[in-house]
Amino acid sequence: MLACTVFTLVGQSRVLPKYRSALVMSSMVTFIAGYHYFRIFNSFNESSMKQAVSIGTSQGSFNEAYRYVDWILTVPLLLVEVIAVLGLAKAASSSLINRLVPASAAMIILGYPGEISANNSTKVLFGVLSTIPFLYILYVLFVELGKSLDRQPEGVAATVGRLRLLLIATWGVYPISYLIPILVKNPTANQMASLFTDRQIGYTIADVAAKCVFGLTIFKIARMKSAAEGMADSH
Amino acid sequence: MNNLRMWAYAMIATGLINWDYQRAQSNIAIHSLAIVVPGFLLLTSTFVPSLKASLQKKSVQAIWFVIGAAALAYAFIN
Repeated sequence: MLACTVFTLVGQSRVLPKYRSALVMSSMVTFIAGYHYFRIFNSFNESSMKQAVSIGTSQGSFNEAYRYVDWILTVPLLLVEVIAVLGLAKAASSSLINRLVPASAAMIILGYPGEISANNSTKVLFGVLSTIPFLYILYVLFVELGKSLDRQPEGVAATVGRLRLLLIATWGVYPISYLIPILVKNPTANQMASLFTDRQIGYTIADVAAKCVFGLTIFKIARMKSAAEGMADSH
Repeated sequence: MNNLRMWAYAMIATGLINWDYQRAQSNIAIHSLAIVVPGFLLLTSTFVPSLKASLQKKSVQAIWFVIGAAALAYAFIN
């Protein structure tokens, strides 16, 4: 995450100034996520004893809600990055941001009660509720944003198309990880430990893909647009 | 101005995560506020016209860069 932060910061001179804000946002997202992982490791250390991790909301326990603090701070920025790198007219970009940012915040906030609940029905209920803003985000990105892609340089529309698929693929891992605990009925202690580990692995892979790979794709789009607008290739 | 806002956002976000993870520690509010408050001040300054003008100066930007870097480094060690 932190290496990706450095890359997008250093790479700013390789794109036109108007696309640099998207790269700055990307570097902030990966920095915040990197710092969050640094603290997650601390939290695992504090909550681990004799190869067991204490999980819950009490002090000294590993609390899954920590991830939600990271996501609420970074996910809206990820969507703003996409809009920023496309360099749309101010009215169009404001309209998209005003819809995407609240929807992404709602998606995360609605997922939180299900995440901390031990009840499977509550998990499913909030999982479904959280999916509604997610579907709205997809609608805006595929239908509304699609209308703005006609004026983009050759190749950019295709890359943005791949970016949207990447978003579905990586964001799709989150609900799968979220639902992992309910896949096994009446799990034993060992199974619970495995399910917990599987969920952490799922969230971590999704985070790296959704933030680093996403940021690198934004960098690629910024490079393509800069080249299309006359920036020398030597940069 | 956008870069300064992002710099401020990084300080606020990092400070909040710092706070969230160490709630049980003594004086954590003060430790975390040392990161959040400069970020909040910088973010506010970018929206106040009179302060906004001073933020255009390279020297002022350099000072904020140093303050931010120090705050973010502090977030890793406290």
